[in-house]
Amino acid sequence: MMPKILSVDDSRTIRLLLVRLFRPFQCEVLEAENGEQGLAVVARERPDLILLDYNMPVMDGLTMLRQMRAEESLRRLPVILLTAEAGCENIAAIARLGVRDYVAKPFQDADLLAKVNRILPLVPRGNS
Amino acid sequence: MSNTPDAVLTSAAGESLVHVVRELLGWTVVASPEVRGAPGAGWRTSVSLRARDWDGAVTLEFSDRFASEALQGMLGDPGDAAGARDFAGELVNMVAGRMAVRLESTEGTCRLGTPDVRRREDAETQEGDSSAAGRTDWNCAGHSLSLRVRSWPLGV
Repeated sequence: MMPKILSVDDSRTIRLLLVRLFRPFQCEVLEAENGEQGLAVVARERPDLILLDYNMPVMDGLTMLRQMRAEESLRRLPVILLTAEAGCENIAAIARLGVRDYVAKPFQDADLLAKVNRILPLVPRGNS
Repeated sequence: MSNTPDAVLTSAAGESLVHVVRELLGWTVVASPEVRGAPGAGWRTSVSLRARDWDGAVTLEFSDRFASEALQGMLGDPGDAAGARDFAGELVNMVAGRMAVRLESTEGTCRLGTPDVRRREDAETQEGDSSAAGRTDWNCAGHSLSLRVRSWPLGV
């Protein structure tokens, strides 16, 4: 079964960029527009990795993380924060919640792929 | 009252715009003082910033053609009005986010609001034309971009 990457971001532009970025690899990219939708997708699809925005309407990334970490089965689900607000205080707050890494927006494709690859080895499509 | 002169914020905003457009689109942005505002139909997109001692806002204006060419370059499709609106909000969010990081050592953590994206022609009717205060004009791959930064003491 292909690994699943969940993109939680209120920007459709960013979600489409991520879908496009991971298209050459054997993985499925799932999408959610905010933390609330993200939690529902996590419960339904059990993704292998979450790329999480910080600042979103309805439910922000920090709240989604806290709710996930409160549940035993989701405590170790790897998360990479993808944020325009990569300030020290924000990074410290999310580090306490066990975020594996963070990438500042706008991200470089190679940088994000390298960080994802460290958590979820990416296999090009067409390779067995 | 913040001791941060507007020139510092304007400079941080300009550096952030140049960085974000280069990283996101691979395009070069240069200051273009002879340009006055971004002509034609387009978008006016703003996001608020709250620092330790002041509130502020960053506003970016650009044409529909800039948005569609940017989306074409990023996604291989010029997109529709909804796509352009989303792009406009995300672009100003990234510029303000970069500013927040840049200013953190002197201004403390800067919190960003949610981007407010309007058609420029509607915004001009409701708010009037954007004043020249705190505004800089830029040229990006033949497109005119207008960037404005304002700040005021907390609670005003």
